[in-house]
Amino acid sequence: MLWRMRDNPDDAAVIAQLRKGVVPYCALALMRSGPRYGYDLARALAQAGVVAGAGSVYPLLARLEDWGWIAATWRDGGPGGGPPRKYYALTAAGRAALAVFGERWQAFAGAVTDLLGPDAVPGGDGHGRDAPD
Amino acid sequence: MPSPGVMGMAGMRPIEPAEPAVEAFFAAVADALRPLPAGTRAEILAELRLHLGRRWREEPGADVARLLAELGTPAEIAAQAGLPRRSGGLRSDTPAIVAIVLMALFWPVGLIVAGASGRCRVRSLAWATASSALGWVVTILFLVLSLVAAMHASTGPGPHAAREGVAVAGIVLAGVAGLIGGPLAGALHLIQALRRPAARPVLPASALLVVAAGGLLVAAATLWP
Repeated sequence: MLWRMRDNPDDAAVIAQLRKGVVPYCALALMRSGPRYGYDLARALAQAGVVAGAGSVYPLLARLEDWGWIAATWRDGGPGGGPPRKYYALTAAGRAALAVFGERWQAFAGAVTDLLGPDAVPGGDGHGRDAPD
Repeated sequence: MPSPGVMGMAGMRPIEPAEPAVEAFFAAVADALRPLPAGTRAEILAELRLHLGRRWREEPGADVARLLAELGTPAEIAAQAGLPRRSGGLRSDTPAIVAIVLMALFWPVGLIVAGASGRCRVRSLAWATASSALGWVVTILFLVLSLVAAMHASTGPGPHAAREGVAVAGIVLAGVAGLIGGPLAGALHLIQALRRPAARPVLPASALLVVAAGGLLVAAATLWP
């Protein structure tokens, strides 16, 4: 993936790579305290701002189900009828994967932030210099 | 409870706004998700429709374009399905394609390189191996039959010459189809599998093997005393 980004380091590519790696674990985390409906997961992740759109959550859930990290069932529509809804729950493997990610994430994000430092933020107060052209 | 699928929902009252923009959007998403298995793609599309329908019921009279924008673009949806972006697809597969073309002549080498590239699924490699191996089995039969034909050769023109002409043609056809066609069909199948991972493998390999089988039958029928 990275060599393709070499030619195309625009905002969309960078953020897309971040989302692909991290968002699956965000979805898992939302199911940590119990099963959730797909619709609720989609809305929550979209409102948290970690996905491009709520629609991206559904293929993500399909992938997580493929990996055996979540299990899904269709349930009847809510009170008063309505269309059926898909209901997702963590599996043991998913719980384990989430735990590993949780341990690694804090340290990793902290290290990346330290490396980037104040110079990385546009308008920051760092005094970094660009390499000469 | 089984998945409702598209057919199950067809019998219900419309659950989402019936606008051309909506259908255009779902058609674009279905296209972007084409490499996925049909069942997975159908379930994702069903969930997207249900999501849109529920948002529409929650905000009656809302601008449909805004609700569609909430879902994101078809490209963003495909990105979370783990699919590569279209523009990079074939270019990045070039080494695998070169290896696959090599297969036509040196198929064991080509298969190893294609497998090592990591871009070909095991099932596709298995089909390509079977096609190539069968092709070479056909070629070995061709060699055997040509020996038989040589032993039956008459020394001059006569009523047997025409039969032998047909037999030779059949043997050559079978030999060419097997030696070249088997590995070539395997190579074509691998290329097809690179572009459409979920596609069924049957057609190219079976077409050439039918030709080979036909040639063998012709040869055997005309040689049989």
